[in-house]
Formats: sequence, structure tokens, C-alpha cells
Amino acid sequence: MAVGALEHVFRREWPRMLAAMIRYTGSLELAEDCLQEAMLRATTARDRELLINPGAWITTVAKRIAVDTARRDAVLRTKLPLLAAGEASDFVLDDHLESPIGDDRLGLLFVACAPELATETRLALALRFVCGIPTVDIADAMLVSHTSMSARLTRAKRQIERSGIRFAPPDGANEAERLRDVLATVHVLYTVGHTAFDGDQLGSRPVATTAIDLARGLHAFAPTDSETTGLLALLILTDARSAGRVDDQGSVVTLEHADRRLWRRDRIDEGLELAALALPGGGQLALQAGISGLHSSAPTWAATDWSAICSLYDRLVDRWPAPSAQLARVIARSFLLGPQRGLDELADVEAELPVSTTRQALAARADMLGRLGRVNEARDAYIRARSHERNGPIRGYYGRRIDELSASDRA
Amino acid sequence: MPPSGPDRKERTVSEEFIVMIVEPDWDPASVTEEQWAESIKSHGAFAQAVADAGAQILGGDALQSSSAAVRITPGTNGKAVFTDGPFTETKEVVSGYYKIGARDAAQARELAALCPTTGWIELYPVLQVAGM
Repeated sequence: MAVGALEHVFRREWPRMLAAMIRYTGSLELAEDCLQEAMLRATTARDRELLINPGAWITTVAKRIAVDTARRDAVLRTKLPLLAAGEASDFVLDDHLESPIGDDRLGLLFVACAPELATETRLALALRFVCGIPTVDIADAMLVSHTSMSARLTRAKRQIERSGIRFAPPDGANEAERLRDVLATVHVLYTVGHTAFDGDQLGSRPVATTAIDLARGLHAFAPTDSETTGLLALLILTDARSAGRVDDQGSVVTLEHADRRLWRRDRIDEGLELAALALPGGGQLALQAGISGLHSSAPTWAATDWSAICSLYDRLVDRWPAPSAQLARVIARSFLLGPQRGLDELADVEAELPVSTTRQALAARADMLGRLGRVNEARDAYIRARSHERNGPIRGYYGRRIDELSASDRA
Repeated sequence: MPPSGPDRKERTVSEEFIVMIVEPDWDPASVTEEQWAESIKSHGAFAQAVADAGAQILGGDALQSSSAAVRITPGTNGKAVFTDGPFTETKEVVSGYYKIGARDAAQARELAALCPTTGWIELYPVLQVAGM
């Protein structure tokens, strides 16, 4: 029972505890292992400090475990002599281990976004470190086996340790490039929170909220950087439309059918203001924010300014020819130029689309076929899209379209 | 890139308060599994309410029972008088405290009312040093 009751405490306190343990031990692996063990002990402990200051209780126990472990383990004893001597403290390690920006989540984000790691690994590590999501869940979400994900994370942690744990924001020669990496990771983090890879839930609210907090933190840190502003604008504008994204049947509601009265006007205004500041920079996040802003400020689906949206997509693809951007551009153009043109353009880009965008491409094709009244083909395309989709609410939507198309075929 | 100051995040927290939990002495041996589970839940709910309100828990601790406490009274001849607990003349003791940051006193009152206790809660605004 106590496990369930303490779970949200673990989630809430995780970044602070993890950051403290990394500073204390100087090791990502040891920090995490000791924290896990301490949290396990917390579930059976009966200490009132656990009620009022659970983070302090768990961290204290974890530190004790770390010292014991370092004493017992010959390798650790050489590697972390201060820890083994029980003399480690938050202050013995180098200053650069202290997060200068206050928010431990931001500090952990910088740790996870180490330049030597692949994009996917950074995301996995950010989900683990910043959001406290269990490795097995990350593995499931990324379609990787549990053992290989855990091996990948272990490898990543060792790589980071070798080149130095950095809680600090990037500085020096590669500053701009590293900041781009960090922004990209936060963007993907939000995307995962917004629409999960799989599961019954459309997304994960805590992950989305964390991503927005991180974007706010980054923006406060680098307020004049237009892409940082663009990221915050993009996330705020997208998030402002999150109410009512799932209907009573648990199916996702498309933008076309969204109840726009549920959208957060105050957030949209805030996002539009930021987008206006970011757009002159012309970066890919700023352009995406601009596109999101045009959707958010359209009073109805019919009133959507597709011409303005398409010209922003032209600039986006010009700047950032990623498959997802190309696909989104084709979809937007199909609303400006008609579904037949959309199908033609889809055929042009389809060959170059990677497997990761297969289901979106299939769904886009299904939608265009449906708008052309090619009912049978549309239904088949939705069936194929559904076979590639693992997100429950999206599958629910495809299922409904399949039913509707079957019904109209019979009629 | 310079590290930014404390104005990094828009703060809805402007005042600090101590939420003192005053209740009968706590005996860990006599607490049932159900009571413990209930305690975890209610303190968790308090923390959630604080977070949901945009306020913050800045710290806090549980205190040992009054049998471990000492009362110190300044003596007449400049020598302090030490009285070891438990303090039998009072049933309730301070069993723990939270330090919270809230928008204003009204919000702090509202939140403190949600803090679990088997006795009562005392809410004290922290005396802010002028110019800080």
C-alpha cells in the first residue's frame, strides 16, 4: 500500500534527490542505484520525517547506502576515495557540478544532453533523469527491449562520467550548437508528453508540463536567443489547445473538430507574443511556433489561414528539411490546394519518408482520400495506419473513421 | 552565457510562513498500518495542494517526541535551567513543521488549514528583514 501512496512523492522529489545524489557521489550510476534502494526502503520505513520531508529522508538514506557501497567495492573505493571515507559532501565536488540556474530539472537536462550522445539517447536519459520515468517504460515507448535500453542508458552514463558531468549550461566555442541540442531534446520531450508513442493515454500530462517548465527555464536563461523563445512559444501555443483533445469515447479529436472554446486564450496570447519575438530569427522552432500560432488564433477551422501557414511551412522545409516537416507541409498544402494535389505531393515525398513517419503518412493519405470521396481506399488506408499506430486514442479515432467510411460505403 | 538571477522564473511566492504542527506526542509503536497509510496520503495531499496553488514547500521536518526535547529557561543568576522532556504539563507538542512560500497571508491560511494534524496547526508569517 505504502508504495502507491509514496509514488507521487518519488515523482515529485526525484529531480532534487537525483541531482543531490549525483553531486554527492560524483557518479550517475551510483547516484541512481542508491536512490532506488533508498526509495525501496522508504516503502517499509515508519519514520515521520518521511511524511514531512520525504526528499530529505530518502536522500539521507541514499547517501548512507552510497558510502557503504563505496567502502565495500574495491573499484569504487579507488574511484571515489572521499565517498568511501564517508567524507563526501555537497561541497567537495567541483563547482561546475552545482547547477547555477536553480532548477535541478534544468541541471539534469544539461547532464542528459551531453554532446557525445545520440539524439535518442539524450531523450531517453532526459525522460529518466528529469521526469523520473522508469527505464522499462522508456524502453516500451521507444520499442526497444528492456535489457538493451538499460544497457544503452548505462553506457550513456559512463560516457558522460568519462567526459565530465555537466549541470551547467553550455559555454565556450560550441555554446550555440549545444543549446540547439538542449532545445531539441525539450521539444521531443514535450512531443512525447503531448502524444505518447503507445498506451491508453493520448499523452503524459506530467511530462508535457515538465517540458514547458524546462522551456521557461531555458528562456529565462537565454531570453535573447530567438530559438529558445521560439521553443517556449511553440510549446505554450500547442499546449493552449490541449483541453478536449480526447472525446468521451477516448478517441483523439482532430484540429478540425476541436471545440475551440476550450482553448486557453490567455496562453495563446502569451504564446503569440513570444512567437512574434522569435519569428524574425527565422529558426525552425520559431517558424513552427508561427504555424502553431496561426492555428491557435483561427476562430474556426474554416477560417484557418492556410495560405499564411503554407508559406511558413515553405520557409520551415527550406531551413529544416526533416521528414516530419515535409509531411506536415504537404498536409497543410492539401487544405490550400485541394486533396488531389495533396495526394500527388504526398507521393513525391513518400519515398523519402522514414519508417518513423509511416503511420502519419498513411493517416494523411487516408484523410485526403476521404475528402476526395474515395471511400474504400480511404478506409483501407486508415486500416493500415491503425496497424502501425500504438497510441490508444489515435487508434480509437482511426477506428471511428473506418466505421464511418464503411457505413457510407454501404449507404 | 551568464547565469541568470533568481528572477529566472515568474514567482507567485512572495511571503514565507511556518506551519507548525501541534499535536499529542507521537508514538511510532502504536501506529497501525492503516494510520500510517493515511498519514502518507494526507501529507501527500497537502504537498499537492500547495503545488497546485502555485505556492511552494520550502522545507520542513518531523521532530522527535518531547521525551527527547529539552526546555531551557534563563536562570536568575545568569545560569540556564535545563528541563528534560517529556513535558507532562502539556499534552500537545510541536511534532513537525513546514516552511512554505505563499502569495499572501490569505493563501497561506487556506493551505495551512489542509496540513494534517491530530491537534492543531499554528501559522506564523516569517519576519522579513527590511531591505532584503
